[in-house]
Amino acid sequence: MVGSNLLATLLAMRDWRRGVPSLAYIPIDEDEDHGSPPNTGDDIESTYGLQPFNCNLYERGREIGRLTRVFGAIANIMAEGTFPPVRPYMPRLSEGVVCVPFDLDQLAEELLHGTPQETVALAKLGVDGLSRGWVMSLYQAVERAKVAPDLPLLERLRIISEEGDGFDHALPTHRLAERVKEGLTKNGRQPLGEALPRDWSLADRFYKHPLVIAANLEQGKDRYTAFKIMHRMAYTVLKRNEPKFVPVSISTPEDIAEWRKRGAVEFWGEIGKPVGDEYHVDRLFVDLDPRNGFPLDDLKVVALEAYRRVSEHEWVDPEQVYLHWTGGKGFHIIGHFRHGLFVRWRW
Amino acid sequence: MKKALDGMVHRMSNDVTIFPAEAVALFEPYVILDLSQVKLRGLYRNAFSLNSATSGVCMPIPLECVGGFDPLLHATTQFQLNLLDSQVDSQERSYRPWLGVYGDALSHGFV
Repeated sequence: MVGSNLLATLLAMRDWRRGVPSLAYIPIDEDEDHGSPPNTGDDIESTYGLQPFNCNLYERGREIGRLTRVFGAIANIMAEGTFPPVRPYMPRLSEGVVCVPFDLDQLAEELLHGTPQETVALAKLGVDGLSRGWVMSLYQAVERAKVAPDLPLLERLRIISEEGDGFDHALPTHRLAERVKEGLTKNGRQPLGEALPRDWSLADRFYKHPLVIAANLEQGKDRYTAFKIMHRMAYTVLKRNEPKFVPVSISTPEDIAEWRKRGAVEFWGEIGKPVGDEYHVDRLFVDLDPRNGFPLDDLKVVALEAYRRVSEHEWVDPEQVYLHWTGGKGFHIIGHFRHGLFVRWRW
Repeated sequence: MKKALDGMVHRMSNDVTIFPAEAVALFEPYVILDLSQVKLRGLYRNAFSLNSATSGVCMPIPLECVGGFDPLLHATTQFQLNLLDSQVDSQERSYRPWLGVYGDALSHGFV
């Protein structure tokens, strides 16, 4: 038997994690920057009659979120066999189903930030004044604009922030908008290693090598290619659409030369390819990422074991499994599917 | 597909040195089997692309070369250029067969 108070709390938390507006964020004076879009009256407190009780959804969300995170941590140290090794096939968290313990970490993040999983990356950006109300406003603007729905939210936001209109309308307070733009830019930047500017002529020779050109063309021949573009000899940013809404493909040596001229220092491929209106994933991919000085010899052992397991997978063509050194500190294992096999990914 | 990989990664994880996700509280060396790029339009660096953070080369490694592989020596731009220069006259230009030729040259480079 669930009491009405508990029921109201659970319903309020359900709406909280979905990003439904809450009274606490209604601006007192809409002319001032209080860090939230105007409230329409469909707030959680009014819906469930919580207003007279002076409830604080923010605090309650944090409390329950922390508790949920603890449950998730406990589940991680439970004995093998206590629950299935992988999440059973059932509707996802975004569809309103919490599969315990698999969804606990994501649910905790949603409760802590008061926004759905799709927007958590934005909420975690750490921009001063970016309340959950603004996060949802930006998210809705991106969804309305239907900008590159296949890309992560931060990349989509970066695109509309460069466009101007939709972004400014969703976030009309100028200083906050500038801070968010700065946060988005910084988030997409990766520091450039010291050695690359020093060895620039070597890098140039490398990318002009006919075999390097042929290898990159081959890897990009039926799928989109992304680049890391160098800026100010200090950092790189990921570029995968040009013009803004069109994914990049490379098909000729001239394409590579052109992107090199524009500062491309890294070439990336996707794990799948577009086929008509669908996206077909046609390979398994595992990234081995060593931490805290994990010894190279041990890493090689793990890499060979992962390689073996990928090769033996029934979908994978054992003749087309590749072990790549990433150029940094780890390995990639890529197992191409047998001819004609693919996984249709939901957009 | 994620489910298939999740199962594989969880079976490999020993919760001591191999983890399926970041173990933030762990100060000992460990390795993550990261599946975060297994998603719509997930990305990974091409073979024969530079890594801008290190200036090392992302390169394919034939299994027989893994034991002798030393990234500080073999994944440098200069080493790879020397290796590729020795391949320029190779008649084999299709990527997969050529990788075999490249692998042979690589293993000779290790000696």
